[in-house]
Amino acid sequence: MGTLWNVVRNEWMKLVRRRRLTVVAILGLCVVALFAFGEYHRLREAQNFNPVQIQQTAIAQMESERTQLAQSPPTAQRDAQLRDLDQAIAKAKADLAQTKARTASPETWRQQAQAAIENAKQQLSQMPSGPALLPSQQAQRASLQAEIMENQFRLQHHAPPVVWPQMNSWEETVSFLGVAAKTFIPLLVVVLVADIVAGEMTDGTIKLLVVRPVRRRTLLLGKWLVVTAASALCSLVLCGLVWLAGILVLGTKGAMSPHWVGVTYQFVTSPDQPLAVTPVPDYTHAALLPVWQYLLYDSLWIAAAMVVVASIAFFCSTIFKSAMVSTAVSMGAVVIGLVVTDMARHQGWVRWLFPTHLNLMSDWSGEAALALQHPVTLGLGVLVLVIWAVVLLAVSFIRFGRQDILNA
Amino acid sequence: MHVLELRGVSKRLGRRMVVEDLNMTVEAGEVYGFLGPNGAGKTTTIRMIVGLIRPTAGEIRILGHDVQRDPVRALAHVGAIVENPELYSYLTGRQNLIHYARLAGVNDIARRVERVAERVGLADRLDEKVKRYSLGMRQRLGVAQALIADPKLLVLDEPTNGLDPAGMREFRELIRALAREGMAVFVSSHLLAEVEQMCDKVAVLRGGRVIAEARIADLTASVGHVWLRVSRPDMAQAVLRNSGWEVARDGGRLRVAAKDEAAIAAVVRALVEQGIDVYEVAPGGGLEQSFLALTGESPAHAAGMA
Repeated sequence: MGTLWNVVRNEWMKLVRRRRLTVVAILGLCVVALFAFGEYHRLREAQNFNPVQIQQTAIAQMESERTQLAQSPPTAQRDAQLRDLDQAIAKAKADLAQTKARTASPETWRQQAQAAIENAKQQLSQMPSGPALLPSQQAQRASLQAEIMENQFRLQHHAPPVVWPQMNSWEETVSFLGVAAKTFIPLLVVVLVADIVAGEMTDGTIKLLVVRPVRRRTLLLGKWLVVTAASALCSLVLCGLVWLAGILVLGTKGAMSPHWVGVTYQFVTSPDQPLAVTPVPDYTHAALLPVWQYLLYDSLWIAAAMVVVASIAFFCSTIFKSAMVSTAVSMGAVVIGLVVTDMARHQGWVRWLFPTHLNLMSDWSGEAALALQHPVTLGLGVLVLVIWAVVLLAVSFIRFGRQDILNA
Repeated sequence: MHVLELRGVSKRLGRRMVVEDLNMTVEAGEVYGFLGPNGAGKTTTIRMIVGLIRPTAGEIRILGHDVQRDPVRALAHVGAIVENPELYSYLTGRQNLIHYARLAGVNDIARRVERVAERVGLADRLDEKVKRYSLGMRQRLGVAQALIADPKLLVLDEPTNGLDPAGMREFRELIRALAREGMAVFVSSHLLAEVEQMCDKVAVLRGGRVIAEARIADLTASVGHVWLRVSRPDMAQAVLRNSGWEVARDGGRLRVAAKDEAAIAAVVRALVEQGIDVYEVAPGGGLEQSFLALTGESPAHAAGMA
């Protein structure tokens, strides 16, 4: 144990002094800056579109259309069109009133949420029920139920929706991290890890490392512990910085907004449309989390997935003797994996690739299942990642333990 | 117990036998030279001794511990430089030494680092990054890391490669001093002269096999001939020839065949008795001669080695 601790201390000393860590830090800051700038831009864009003004213009346009139509000679068709327009104008005016009320006095959202619940309940009661429903009807029932639960959650937890001219920084952070977990962060991890053994092979320092009275597996285990810890730490710091940037640009409003987890889907083809697959959500095991909590879990699961990415890069680093080749192959695995999982996403076997599960939170929330059109759960995602890591690490340890170090 | 013992060690790489059936023992306080041309299998052997390569057959024991089966105990007493000592250039000299000291299980690391650095003359530059070191300083740091755990066996692969003459001499003196303190040193080289100056014992490797093994003292004792510088060369030549010595003349010097030290003494006495002054007696490439006799090779072959 003492030996392993010494190996860990050594590897940490080397890791923090290598130039690669600086490169990773700079790239990471670039990613955060990119996010901050993007959000700032979106906020500015959104502010230019005052919803009250937009709705008012739309109403004015419809009204002028109506006056023109009213002047034309009366026919049955014209009367029908006039009726439709009148309805549309009335609805738009009601919407406008709501928008105005919401922006004028923030507390009206409670009444609106209550009204939405009543409305959804009424619709549900009017809908046919029972086992013989069409898939589309099942889906509609489920989404109405979900809407009721979301609004109840908001009322219970005093979580008003974030409305114009503000944006929900928490939701923005979650959606950015969803993309980053599959692209930026794994690439940063690869840059950090992929030369941890191969680099010492290239430089020849591996010789003076292996001739010490320490077993090779202890050396390798120490290196693995350090790179996985560093990768997890880097991704957590990055998630934290993205969150901080979101808060600084968009403010802290909306931390209690509800976010689904544990939604499962059934993918059914209705008899009348054999080609169309309808996802039918099932909320029986689902729960709502406040978005701040969702973000916290998200960061932790990203860190866990990055431990797996680090293990894969680590594997490449023990297989290839050149740091360059090792880095290139690990990056290729991440990038090609990303492309393949996107192109072949409705194929069942995509579920067994590691890049599919780098954003484990989407496995948990059900978004991954919806995108793949195959049942995917958090458990499956974790299982797939663990299998990848364990198999590749086993190969790494066996190979490094027996390898002749000939010309390093 | 031998400090280092190789028994029947062979290594096959692909179809080629790199080294075959090596048998050697190195004792405490002994500097053991491992001489051979490039490509003879020196580096492969050294890498097997320090556990970088596993032998195809045979066993290597260090202080009785098998390097393959019990690497932790066997390597605890080994310091090594394998080819160039590649060190972490982004760390300081001190950090490099601390790094290796931790792996070697050194107790009082800070003190030990200071002492080793002092010994190799690097103490004042220890906190600089290694990338700013000159080649000579890197070599010193390489020696320091090999000595960090106070090893019983020092394994050095072509240690003086890239050193200037002063550096080489300093290095030789350090090795001799370490041997006097009881350390066993196993050193490979392709330079006969270097082995002669540094080692007590030499094994000659050629084509993966040890073709000869001898003590340096025995080799130099059985010198083939001596060079003499005397006051009256013509007369000296006649005197010696009359006494039955084989003499040749080369300018102002005489070349006399003398098998051992007693013979040299007899030659000098004979000259002095005849009133001839002897200015200089020099051994005449004797080691090389006896070396060739030992390996049974033609001088053309030896040229590549010497």
